[in-house]
Amino acid sequence: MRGAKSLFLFGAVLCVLLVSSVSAASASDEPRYNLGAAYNETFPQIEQGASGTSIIYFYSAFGNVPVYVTAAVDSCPNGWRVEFEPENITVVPQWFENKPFQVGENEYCLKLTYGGNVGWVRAYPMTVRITPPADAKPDNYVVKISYVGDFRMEGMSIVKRSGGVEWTVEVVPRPAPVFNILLIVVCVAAAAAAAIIIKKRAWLRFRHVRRPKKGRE
Amino acid sequence: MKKCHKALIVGLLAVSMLFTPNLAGATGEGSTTSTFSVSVVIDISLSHVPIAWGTLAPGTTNNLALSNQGNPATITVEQTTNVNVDIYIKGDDWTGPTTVAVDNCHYDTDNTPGGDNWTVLTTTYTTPIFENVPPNTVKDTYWFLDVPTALPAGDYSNTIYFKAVRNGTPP
Repeated sequence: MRGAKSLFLFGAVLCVLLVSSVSAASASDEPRYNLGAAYNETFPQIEQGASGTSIIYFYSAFGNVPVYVTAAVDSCPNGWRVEFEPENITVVPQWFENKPFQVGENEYCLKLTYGGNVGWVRAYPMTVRITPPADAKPDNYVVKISYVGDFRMEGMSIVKRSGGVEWTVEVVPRPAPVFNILLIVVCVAAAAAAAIIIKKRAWLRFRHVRRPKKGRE
Repeated sequence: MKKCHKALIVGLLAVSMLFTPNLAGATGEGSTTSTFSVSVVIDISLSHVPIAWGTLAPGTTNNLALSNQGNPATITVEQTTNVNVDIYIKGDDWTGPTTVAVDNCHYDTDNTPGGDNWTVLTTTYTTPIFENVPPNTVKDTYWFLDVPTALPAGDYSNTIYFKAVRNGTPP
């Protein structure tokens, strides 16, 4: 009777182990093509004649297939230059860590919230540099870029996941050099005036200290 | 008098701090960089893909894709996403022994041909198959293919794109 009970328990444990291994195997076998993108909604203001940058962070926390990401310009005003650095990225899937961790070169440890939790993932930054022409008038301009995540299996692309970012870029006037020089003069004058006043106050204090001595004599 | 001097010094210092000259602007160089913080996160997973139909006979219509290979193809808006999204789909022509036009393919939100969301596959993003989808949502798409008559035997393949953008943003 006791032997039969042990055998039953062994059988039950074996069944549980078998079920676990089957579900684990099926979970890992099912390909999951995931790509996340995180970016700032607003693009920094760009001064006339200068350029501005923003970063798109790509990651794959929920996937199990590496993804090859490329970006392209969908639309931008005539004469504008949009560059991507690097031009393409391979994103390797990795689940969340519960604390920040060391990342390699050209990688970023990105903090995200998911389902009420906070986690850190290995993210791959792509810098987008936008350069308006030097004569671009101060105004708001729309720049649209798109990215494509290519999930390659055995060298053949079968599924692509894409996304788009639309930025309103504000070009602001560059401060005129004359105005800058004027400001420098104002600053220097302010400093000089402050120095004179401090010196004068020190002299007055010195005289004030000496006078009573004279009176006592 | 003492108070007056103090006020004057403080005022002058404040003025000089406020009007620090922008030398970068004066030389015509300089650029701005974004900070680390991100405001938009869009995170999408695809499963039950690639879409496949197996072996089909020429001259047949509305062939449903194989089980879990387009019947359905599942799109998950992951929980890290912090905006509602619109999902668009487009595809290329099939290539093989000959070309099969992309419009031989339809997709739907149920496994029955026709109905409200029955959509022909196009080479450009047109209307979203799913609009204003909140994070942590799973959406299924079902795929159907017509096989033209007298189509030469062989393997045909194409690429299907799933695009997710912030709700209201053009694709």
